[in-house]
Amino acid sequence: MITLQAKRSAAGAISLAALFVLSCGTPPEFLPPPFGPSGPGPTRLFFPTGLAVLPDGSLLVANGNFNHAYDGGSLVSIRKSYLDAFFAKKLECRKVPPPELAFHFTSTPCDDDVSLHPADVFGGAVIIGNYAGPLALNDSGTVAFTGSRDTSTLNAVAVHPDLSLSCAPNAGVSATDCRKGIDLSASGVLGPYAIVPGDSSAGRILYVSSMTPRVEQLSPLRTSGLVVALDMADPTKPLFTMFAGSGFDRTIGSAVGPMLFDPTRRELFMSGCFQRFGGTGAAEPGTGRCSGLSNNFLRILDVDAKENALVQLYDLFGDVFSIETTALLLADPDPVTQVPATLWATMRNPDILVQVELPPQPSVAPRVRRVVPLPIAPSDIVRIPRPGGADLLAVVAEKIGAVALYDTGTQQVVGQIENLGDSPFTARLLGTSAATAATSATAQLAVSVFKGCKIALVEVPLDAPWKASLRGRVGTCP
Amino acid sequence: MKRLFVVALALCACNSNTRPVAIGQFSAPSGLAVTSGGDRDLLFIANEGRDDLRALQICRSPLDGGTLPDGGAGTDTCAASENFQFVPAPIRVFPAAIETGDRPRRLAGVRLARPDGSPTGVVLAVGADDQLRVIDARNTVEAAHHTVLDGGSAATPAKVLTLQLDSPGVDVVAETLLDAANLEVGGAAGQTATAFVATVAQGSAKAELLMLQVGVDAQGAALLPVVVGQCTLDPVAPRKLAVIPGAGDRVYVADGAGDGVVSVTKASIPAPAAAPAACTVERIAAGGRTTRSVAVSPPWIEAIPALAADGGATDAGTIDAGTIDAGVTPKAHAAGELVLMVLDPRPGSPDGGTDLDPGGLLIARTADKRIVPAPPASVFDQTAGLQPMEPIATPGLPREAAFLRSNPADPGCPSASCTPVYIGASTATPTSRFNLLATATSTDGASYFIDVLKRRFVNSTYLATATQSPTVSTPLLESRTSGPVQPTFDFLAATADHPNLGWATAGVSHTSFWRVVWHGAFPNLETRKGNLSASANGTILLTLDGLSLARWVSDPALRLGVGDTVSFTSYLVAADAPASCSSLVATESASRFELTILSLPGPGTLELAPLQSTATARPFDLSACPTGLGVVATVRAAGAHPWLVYDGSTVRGRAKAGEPFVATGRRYDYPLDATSPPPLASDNVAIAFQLGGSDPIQLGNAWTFNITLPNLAPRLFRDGNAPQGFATSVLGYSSSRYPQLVFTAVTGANEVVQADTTLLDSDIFGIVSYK
Repeated sequence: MITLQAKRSAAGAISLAALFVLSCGTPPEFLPPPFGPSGPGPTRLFFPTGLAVLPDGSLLVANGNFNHAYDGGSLVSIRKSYLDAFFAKKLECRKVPPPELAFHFTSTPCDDDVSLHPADVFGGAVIIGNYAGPLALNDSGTVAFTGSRDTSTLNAVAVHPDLSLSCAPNAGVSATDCRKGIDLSASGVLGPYAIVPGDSSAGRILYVSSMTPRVEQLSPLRTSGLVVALDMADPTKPLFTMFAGSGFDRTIGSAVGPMLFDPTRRELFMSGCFQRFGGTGAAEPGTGRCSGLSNNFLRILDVDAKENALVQLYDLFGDVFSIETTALLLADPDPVTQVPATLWATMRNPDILVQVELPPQPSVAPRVRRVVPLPIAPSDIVRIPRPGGADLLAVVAEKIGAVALYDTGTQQVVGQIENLGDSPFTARLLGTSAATAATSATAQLAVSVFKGCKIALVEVPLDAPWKASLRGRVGTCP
Repeated sequence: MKRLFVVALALCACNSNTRPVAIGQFSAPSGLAVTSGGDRDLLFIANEGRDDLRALQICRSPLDGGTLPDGGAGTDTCAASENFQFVPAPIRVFPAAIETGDRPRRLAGVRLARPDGSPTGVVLAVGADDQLRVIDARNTVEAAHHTVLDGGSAATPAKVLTLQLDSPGVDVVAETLLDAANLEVGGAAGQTATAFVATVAQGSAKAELLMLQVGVDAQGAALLPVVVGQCTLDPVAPRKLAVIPGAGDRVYVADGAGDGVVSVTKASIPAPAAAPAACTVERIAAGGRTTRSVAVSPPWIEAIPALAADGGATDAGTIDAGTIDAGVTPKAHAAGELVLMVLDPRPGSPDGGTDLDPGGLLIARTADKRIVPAPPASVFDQTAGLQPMEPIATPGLPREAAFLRSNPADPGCPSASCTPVYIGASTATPTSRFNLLATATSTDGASYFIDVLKRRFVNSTYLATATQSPTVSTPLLESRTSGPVQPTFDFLAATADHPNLGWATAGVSHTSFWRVVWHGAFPNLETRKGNLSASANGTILLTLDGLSLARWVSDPALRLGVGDTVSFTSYLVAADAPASCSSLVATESASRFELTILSLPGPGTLELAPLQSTATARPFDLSACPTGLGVVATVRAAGAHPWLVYDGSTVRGRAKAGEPFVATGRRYDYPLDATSPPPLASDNVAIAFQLGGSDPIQLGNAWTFNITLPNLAPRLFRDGNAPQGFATSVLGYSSSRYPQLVFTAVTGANEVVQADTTLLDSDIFGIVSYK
């Protein structure tokens, strides 16, 4: 005889079993726009970071998915025709509360919610990994690369002439799901960040730096910062690995942030500092910005020495008292040899633009020559060449949503464009327009606005940069 | 009893004289200017990162209630609770933000008088746009206090006035009158003040100098300045302006493109025109150096110790060997005698072997437009042939400079010098007095004091009579492999011209770490990929990929050439190489041998002598690799001068045993009381030594030593809690109540530091940081 209690027990067991079965099922994926999260939708920008300008003037944008709202980030292409049309409106965009903060957001001509007409704006989109950083292109502009900092994955996306996107060969599980990427863990690269095209004696190369130092020894903790050289023709093929920092040199084995390649010296210029901290992180030491240091190394690697290269260290701390470098830019090439004589760097705490002289004599160490105060939290630098005149430098100021313009000729900040949105990050020069009878020549910039989920469009008159204008803000947060 | 204790405790807690430090909410503060806000002074700070100005209130009436020399209110209406507090915003817990447009960078304070004769002030601001902003200083105070005006209505904030410029302003400066105590005062009612603005060259617009007249209207409100003069400055690239304290006949312009500074007399500036004429400039050269800042000396009183009858002539700052009497003769000097120039870093290092120049500070006379001589000669000594002073330099890169007030009302003046600085060198006299004092800011965030007449930084250990000479450590030989006879290292012995061991020179030798490396690797040639191949005449050719060695050959400190060597850290066998090549590489180890350079047949090619077999070493037989061999090469100093001398990251030259090595240096201070003859530039030696004994026979040998400056402690001030940051503008401020304050904008740390030179770090009010 089956008692009521037994019946209840059996029913409970069945319910529990059913629950277990259900819980063992694969949860649904929350794909990023335009692929999800609940079916196909309009393409959106969400935590845009890296930008790259295609040969035809179109723009690639990497969306970082920093809040993990989706199961991946995305890479999207924005049509040049759309950008040109926006600049042609010659809007003067003033301060308005961003939609994410406004109680009653009223769209202005400056703010384009691109989700309403994505086809006009976007040429293609693919899914990539999370935490995308800077974007780089191969020489022909047909493949775009960006690292996913939570993994060892280098995302590789093919860019087609019609601006449609697909995963590069062997870098995706489907035509548009490129989260597989290129696994760099075998090369010891964790958290790939800076990617720069260059060359070496082995041919055309993609240099990829690791933001997370590799643990060489746990007790005592010894790490190394790595740069891997990938064959540009076949990026799945690592050619050699170099040390940007070693636990046995003055870098304490830290990894780097920004990186440049100087083809004339055949050297990589690196700066920034990321280190592992014992006793933090899960299972293994966590990574963060270096702290408690009294140095700020400019690191130089001779790429021709390949894996034998010894990193050259030049400490810039003494002249500026900053330990955090956020961006680098080479400038002032010698008219004959084309060897750059200047390295510009943005640093934080203090927030400055720093001019470093790179002397032609090998016996003389590089040194800071000029320090310029900048708005709070400077990040990316872009050079704006001016025919017959000194370069302008556009420097993104993250905390105040602005771009400052520095005139290298008059040696002062000559313009500041504000109201870009919350946390602008990367800037790229889209192009320059020639002077007409009515207007002077201008430069057009695109700036990724990280927290504001948009691209800000800035126009700079080359002969009167203080009249630079914000021409528009493209995108809203999903 | 307990209740009594609690009450006493409460009374103690309430009885505090500490002053809360005001919060300015600064973001990259830069320009500083003081003007009158009526019954108080206002320090305006360009809050560059937030596009606005802040105004710090400073009560100026003497604490004893005396009347103000400039006719200010006899009764002090400046509340103690507002003293050193920012003019408040409508929500009074926040400082008022005076919106001025993009990145206000430079400010000028203009002291004026209202029609009723009461003091008022105007602030002029330039920044990243092409507008000059005009702010009514007294109105900011009255608006904050809702002061009832004559008409019966409460004061409201006046609109910021704008004057259109042709291009962004570089700097703005205004003339201000001084009273008998050398304190800034406004003119009489209705009197205007002269101001100058320099603009940048941009596009088709040339750099210009504008002369303005600034005044107030019948109600005492600020008027838009009137442009009364205009001229073009090209080819001068204006960086900073300075006028003669107390008003003078000219304005000085720091030239970022030419040599030194230029001055333009007011009388020579033509009236404004659509196509302005060129300015008539008089140049004060700085030895071919461009300048970033300039300051002009104020009126000052020189305390000249009287000499006994046997004493020789004396001049400013110079005491001859005569016996000094107790008496002191005061001598008044007019404003504008000297200019202090802040030099840009000199581009490049044409000679190699020296670290890059950081810029410096140089003093020049305005009378004859010459750099003052090196000490001990007087700054006013115009004797022909005297060596000019060399630039002195702060740690970091010097930014800007300002003279401090010579205070004739100081209790110690004029029987002693009139500008005090707390040194703490002795308990009895912790404060030292100076005839003429300046201060300079640096990218390291600190502000340094300069004893102008001595041409040196104020040094606390000097005033404590500690020795100022640098010392050298015992050299150590890092020997990974030792030869049969140890090398030796001897610092050169002291001489009359070089009184210290190793010829380390006070004011020239820096604290630094030196390495003298046998067969040291040339910088940037430590690891270079190359390819080895056999030449037709039996030697080896090393071709370095994509590299020209011309820079190393022409570098005077390196002089790469025949006799130097190459070693190899690794070998790279080509895929099509025969097995014999792999066998050769398998037997090699890193840097087992060095090959001597026989010639440089191409820009990136070295001809090397083959390694022959010896009794102790096997040969390196490249014939095993007929198609060549890839290598990672290290190019090393060898031959006649096989030791490479490193000063930090800079190679200072090459040395050899038995030959003195003298490393020259750049002077950065005159810390010693120099005697005749003056310290000559030709004697600027950082270190001198001689190697001896036998050279090592294997790689890995290096001598190391340190130069230390144990007692060189320049007097400086900074925010001890925020060492990071770089300082920009500096301003000396004096009033009846606060005779000697200095304000520094520490732009990089988002703060303004206020220093009372009579207190400095001896008191909590000596250095105050406004964040």
